Amino acid sequence: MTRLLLARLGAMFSVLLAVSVLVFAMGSLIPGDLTSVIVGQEGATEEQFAKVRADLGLDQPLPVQYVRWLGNALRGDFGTSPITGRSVTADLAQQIPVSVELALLCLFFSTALGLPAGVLAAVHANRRLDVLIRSQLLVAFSVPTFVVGILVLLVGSRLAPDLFRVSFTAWSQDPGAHIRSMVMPLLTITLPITAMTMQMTRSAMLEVLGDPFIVTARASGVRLQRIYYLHALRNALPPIVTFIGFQFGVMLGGLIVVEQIFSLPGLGRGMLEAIATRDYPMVTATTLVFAVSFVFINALVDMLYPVLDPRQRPR
Amino acid sequence: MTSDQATDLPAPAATAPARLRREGFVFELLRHRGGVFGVAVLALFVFLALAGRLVMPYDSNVGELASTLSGPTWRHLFGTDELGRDTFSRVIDGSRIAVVVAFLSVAVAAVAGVAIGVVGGYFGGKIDTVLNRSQDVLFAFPTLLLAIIIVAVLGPGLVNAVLAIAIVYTPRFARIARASALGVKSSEYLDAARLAGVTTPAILVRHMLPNVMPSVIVLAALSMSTAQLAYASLSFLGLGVSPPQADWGSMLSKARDFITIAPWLTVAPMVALVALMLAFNVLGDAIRDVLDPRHSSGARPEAAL
Repeated sequence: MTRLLLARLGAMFSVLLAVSVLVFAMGSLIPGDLTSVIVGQEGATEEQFAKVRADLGLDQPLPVQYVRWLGNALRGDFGTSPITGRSVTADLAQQIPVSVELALLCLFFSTALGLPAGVLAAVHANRRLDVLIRSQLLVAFSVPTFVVGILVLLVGSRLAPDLFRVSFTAWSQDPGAHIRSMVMPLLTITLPITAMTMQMTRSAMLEVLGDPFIVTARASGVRLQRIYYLHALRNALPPIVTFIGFQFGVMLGGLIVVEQIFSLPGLGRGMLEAIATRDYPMVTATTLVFAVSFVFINALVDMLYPVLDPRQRPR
Repeated sequence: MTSDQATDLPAPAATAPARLRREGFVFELLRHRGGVFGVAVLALFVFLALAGRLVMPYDSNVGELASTLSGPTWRHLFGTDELGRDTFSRVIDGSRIAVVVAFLSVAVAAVAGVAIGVVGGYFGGKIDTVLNRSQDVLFAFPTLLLAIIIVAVLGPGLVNAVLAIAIVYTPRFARIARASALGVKSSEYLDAARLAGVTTPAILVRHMLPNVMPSVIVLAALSMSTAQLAYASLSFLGLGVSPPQADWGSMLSKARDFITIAPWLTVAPMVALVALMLAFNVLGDAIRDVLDPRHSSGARPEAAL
């Protein structure tokens, strides 16, 4: 068990290292040099350029720059943004909680709704209710997150102007306003993810429901509800959990879109703004945070697998 | 076995893609309930993409400043935008980009992915390891995030967005092509072909490729909707086409700003986008059902962004 864990951790770190190289390379490839942003394009002399380049360490060879960048990043120092003049780390500290809150709430609600709905769909498989559910799912898969967001805005501006008008407020300032400002973004990101969780639960359950032990349980008179939720769902859980881990990537993409639609000051919006202004340290920092959290979650799900499924444990 | 006999073996190339070559494929697809719907909607959009300029009621890029943000009227069925441009015409014009992006990005990804996968799978060893590892790193990024950062590096624009989506989708094709290539690598007919002196490129193209095709076609069909989705999202985030060109994603992004005073602006692009996505989804499922009957339709791991 320990050896398996160590192997997974090792694999994770090699992927993380490769990701950091890629993110750094991307940062150096972004058109527009950091120095020209700082010095300004016109009227700057060669000496000024050279001085700024030397100050930032940009005159060093790329591998040296990479090691320095990685060392600083590991200590939580992403440098100073040439656009805003603020410390990137301080900005991240403001943005990350917003995105994490949205992600965790989305994970909670989509699982709490999607799991039972999927079980229900599987139990009623190939009956009228199931046909209805499946056609709805097909529609759900064909509606992009930002279209859901616009629909939520359209409906919200008519039915709940109170929710529509409130702009993002921090919990520390006004908890009531904070909750109201998060309702529509949360609804937008949760709807598609719930549909996917439900779909996956349905197909995982259908596979288990045909197993002999379900027939045995039924024959020995175990209550149906107990069979569905205890016997079958417990056995269908490993693929579902893997899928929820996979969905995390989908959710990160959704976060970027939702934060943009509802003007939430989260990580995704920070990244898009940084891309628009060519804020090089900010782009690399936000990208790195996104990619690293994605790799972490997937590794976590991988490690969770043997916990959920005893057959996967090495003896 | 003489070399004549060996090169005379038509069987391997013909067996695997048999379902593809049979004329029945199109008929089977049209017999499939979802298939008809998908083909019909897609045909409509392809028609609009090709002949849109002829059928659209107004020039999509010229606005009437006298009627900006007008509501739905008989003159402008879906209203006009903030520059007085006809929304309906712009949606028709936008279908060109939507259709081209979906087909082009998936096609580029499929060609690149198949090349990488088949070469890696056939040769094995170091080449395979290097190709495999570099693909793994791409898998470490969420789909939309990877597309966004590639566009950030290349700069926004239609071509770069297509390229970004193609890069994002390449590893999936490489993986599936490699798996099929490994499956036939040690088969007897490949040994026979090698013994008969068939050159390596010929083996790859004439004997490996046909075996890889069915699964690649299924994946390509299923990828159309998500590629379309990825592009629409990029465009919505302002990383797609440049302004005057009509495009559903950027139209919706603009309409979002006027959502309280001109909510009708969202209707036409939204309906068009969802209809095309639905058509791609249904058609993808239908093609999979027809080409790969063993697969029970149900689980769709790759759903949306």
